[in-house]
Amino acid sequence: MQNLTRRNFLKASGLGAALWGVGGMRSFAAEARRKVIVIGGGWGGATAAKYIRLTDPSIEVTLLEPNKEFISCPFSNLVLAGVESLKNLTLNYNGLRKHGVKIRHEAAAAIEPDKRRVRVGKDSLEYDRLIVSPGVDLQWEQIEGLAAAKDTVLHAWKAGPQTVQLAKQIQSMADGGVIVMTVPPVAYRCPPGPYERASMIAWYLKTKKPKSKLIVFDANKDIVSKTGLFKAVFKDYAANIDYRPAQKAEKIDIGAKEVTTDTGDKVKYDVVNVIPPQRAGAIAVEADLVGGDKRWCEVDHVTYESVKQKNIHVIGDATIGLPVPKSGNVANAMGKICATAVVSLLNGKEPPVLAPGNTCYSWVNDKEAIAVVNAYKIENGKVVQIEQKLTPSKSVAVAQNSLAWRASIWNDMLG
Amino acid sequence: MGKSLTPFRRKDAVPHEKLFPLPLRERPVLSAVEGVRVRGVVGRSHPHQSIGLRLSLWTSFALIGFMLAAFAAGAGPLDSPGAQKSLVCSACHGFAGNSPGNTMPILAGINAAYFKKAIKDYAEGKRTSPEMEPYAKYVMHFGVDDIAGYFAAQKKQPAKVKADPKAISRGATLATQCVQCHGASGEGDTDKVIPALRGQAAGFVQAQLALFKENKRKPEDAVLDENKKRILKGLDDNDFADLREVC
Ligand SMILES: Cc1cc2nc3c(=O)[nH]c(=O)nc-3n(C[C@H](O)[C@H](O)[C@H](O)COP(=O)(O)OP(=O)(O)OC[C@H]3O[C@@H](n4cnc5c(N)ncnc54)[C@H](O)[C@@H]3O)c2cc1C
Repeated sequence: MQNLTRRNFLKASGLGAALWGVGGMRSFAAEARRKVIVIGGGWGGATAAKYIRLTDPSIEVTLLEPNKEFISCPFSNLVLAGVESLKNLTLNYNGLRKHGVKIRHEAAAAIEPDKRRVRVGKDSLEYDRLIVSPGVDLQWEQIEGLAAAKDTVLHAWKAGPQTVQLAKQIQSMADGGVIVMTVPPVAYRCPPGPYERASMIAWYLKTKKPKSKLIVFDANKDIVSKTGLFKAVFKDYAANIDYRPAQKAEKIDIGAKEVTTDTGDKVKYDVVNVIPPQRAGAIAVEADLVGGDKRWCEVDHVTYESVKQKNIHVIGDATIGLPVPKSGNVANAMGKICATAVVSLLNGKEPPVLAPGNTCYSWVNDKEAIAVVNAYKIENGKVVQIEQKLTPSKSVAVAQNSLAWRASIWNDMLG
Repeated sequence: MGKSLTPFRRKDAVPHEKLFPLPLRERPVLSAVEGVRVRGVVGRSHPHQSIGLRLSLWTSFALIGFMLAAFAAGAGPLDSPGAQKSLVCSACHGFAGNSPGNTMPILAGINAAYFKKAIKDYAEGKRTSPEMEPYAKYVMHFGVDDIAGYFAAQKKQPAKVKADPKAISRGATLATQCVQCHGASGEGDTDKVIPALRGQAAGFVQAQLALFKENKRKPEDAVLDENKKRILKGLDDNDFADLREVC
């Protein structure tokens, strides 16, 4: 409506051609059919869909997302320790509909970059620009025995039914039991996530099942994120946590209830949580958006356009090459920046040069949290870190800030 | 209106204020919805009234004004350089600087000079905040003037957590010492670069009072510093919890 007003004004005043130039006139003529499709209604995709509509309501936005509800991974580790419930993390898409985003609760079956089309069921949807934010897929086949056992060996790395099941397994375990958790090698979704999870489970054991133990096999040499802070936290839980770095889970045997690592260690468990290695969501892999590693998508650091396919932008966890963590906060920032770039490009304008930021909180018990914050800028067309800061220690104040963050960012994506 | 302001949440979701209350003198949350705060000068109302009724006239005028202004400008709300450069801020501070969270300050309508001073202080580590320091450098890098101008031009949506009337009345008594500088209704003083407190996020105000008291945050002006110290000397954390409710 606002844009129509402006357009009519330009037209009526005869200024349109003068201001917009020839290129502008072309996009003006094409405006009627400007269509953006967004694949994935998670942290990146939901934000991008909303912000395109906010920025230029004359653009038609269709969001493809198989899930009817949005469930927040952030705060899902608190559910495992029984201090938060999944229903408080379950959000809906009504706000996006109010912004005029057309939502189809179906998965995109395939992308046809040459035809600028996305196949959904029997339909083929055309786009002028496509935004792909499919998150991660879990690589079961990387751990022997996992693919066959994936319904019972829980990852809970996509918040949802598995989160609730894992919480039940942990909470119904007898005191004196052993929980084994495995951390995949980088790059994976949410670098501090496994350690937040370990802290919350260890807090639960310490307070409710003090004779029990959590063994963490980490494929990485050391704690990947907020290292010093998590080390201090693990010390507080020394009686209940056994952290073993540089040990990669290689095999799982559900009959023997045993995990084997690449150093040959075998450990029996009562409850197991395997976080498998990851790569970009299948749709990105199948559309040849991933690079030589066959796992992640390389993009332009300003517009998030794929370096491999024109008119297709990739955001969120599926991307690689930017010095940013795979976090919801970064996916949200990318969603907003990418939306701005897509609107600019569709209007024949130069996209503004903007960089993301990352504010990442980790809870370590029922009241306290720690945080890492990164700000970035663009230098020679590339994202470069300006600074990283950590909170000095765990505190209630930081935990309270994380709650304010979640109220803000959920609203920013879906409100 | 009369509907939830967070329509994307389940109706049976428990507000985080209830699950993880702010420390000290647990705040009775009468509002059923997270992020909907009704308190202090903004309006006290019966819990069964609709949110639409709860909004004061002042708020309604502000909203209408905002909508008219946006329409008259004829531009999308995100077309200006200031809006674009502050895109990352909304993750914590809310859309257009209207933070719905308890401890994140509302930036909408902020005095631009005060915003710039705060950013400079954070960037230089004079005001310590691990969360703000990197972002303050981001703001300096991308253009503090554009961003200050953007937030200053946004209309503040009133904070709306329903507070305990007793806390409000205790807080109001204590606040008589604040009005000298911050204005009779906490509106601040643009010329003297004194921030408005009216409608500010309660948890944020409480945290800042504690920082001043612990001497972790300090006004540069020696007289102001003395005044603040004198006022805060007699107050404890419970008083700060009451004071947060009068904003
Ligand atoms: C335990 C845990 C804790 C975390 N804590 C935090 C935290 O505190 N802070 C933080 O910032 N981040 C946190 N994260 C990370 C955060 O959840 C992710 O970084 C974020 O979800 C990434 O957003 P995305 O849009 O890339 O992917 P997602 O949010 O996963 O969204 C992808 C969406 O795409 C959909 N999709 C996939 N394929 C298709 C298809 N073919 N067609 C249509 N739709 C499709 C999926 O259904 C999904 O909804 C945490 C993660 C975990 C696992």
